Amino acid sequence: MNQLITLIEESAIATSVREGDLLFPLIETLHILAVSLVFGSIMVVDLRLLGAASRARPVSRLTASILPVTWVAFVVAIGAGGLMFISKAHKYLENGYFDAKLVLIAAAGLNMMVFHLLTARDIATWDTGAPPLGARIAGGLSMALWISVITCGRLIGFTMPVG
Amino acid sequence: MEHLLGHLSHYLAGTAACRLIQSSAWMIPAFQTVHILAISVIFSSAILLNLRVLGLVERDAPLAQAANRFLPALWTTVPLAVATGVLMIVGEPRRALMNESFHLKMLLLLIALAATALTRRTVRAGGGGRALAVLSMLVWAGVIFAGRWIAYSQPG
Repeated sequence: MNQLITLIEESAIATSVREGDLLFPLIETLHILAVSLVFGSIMVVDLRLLGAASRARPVSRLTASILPVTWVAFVVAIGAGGLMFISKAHKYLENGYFDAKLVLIAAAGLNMMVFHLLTARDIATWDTGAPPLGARIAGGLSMALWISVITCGRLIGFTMPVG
Repeated sequence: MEHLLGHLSHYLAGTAACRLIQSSAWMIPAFQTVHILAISVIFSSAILLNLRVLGLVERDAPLAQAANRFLPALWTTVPLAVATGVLMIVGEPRRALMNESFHLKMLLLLIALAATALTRRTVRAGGGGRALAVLSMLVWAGVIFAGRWIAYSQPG
């Protein structure tokens, strides 16, 4: 495992990200733009699940319209984040906030899966009405998890200085 | 202007608030985190509204209805972003005030806010404004770009 990480760190791409003066900040900015859009677009859905906003929009239509934006932004965020990671893989893995961030993203994914597979099964009965408790919990949990993800992301920068 | 900002920066550096923020280990990271969260909401609201103007999202909802959901979220979050931004400036005056990336960010922010206000007017007038939508998204992205660049450019 350790050897694999070293191999990744020494790859041509990782080296150029690490050693280019401009490349790392550019990738980091792209990461932030993408993460911003992931968070903001998920908030739209979470607030609807909480019954706090977009109440005139059926949940199924709102998610069908907004979540593709979230997914595109998520793929860009993972791509840019992945490039930052491979440039200093060992240091990132040793950083507690980085590890916590990955766990929190996994938890957010799990929360979404539980919602889609269980809570949303009878969505037809509450699509236009007040969301049931399960949906509210999913929305609140998602919001808390993504705020935590961004908090950890920012703290990585403080505990692992660039350069 | 440069001279004025120099004076302001010097003054802020001597305030008790600056010393308090400087002496704290958690304040600057906390302000930055809330600042980013606020900007995420503002940026996403602007992007989603402009994508709606372009007909790329929420096509099954009327444009005016989409604007009525995204614009209030945008405008009500601006004070939070400004407040946390001000606190960051008070804590580290030279880092921002004497930094060209920060000046660029403020210029782009003014353009972005003006473009957003203009979008509201065009939406109320019945839509259109596709060029404005593209411009607005680019300028909002530019605000985040310049903001991140503050960390990488040296204060003058």
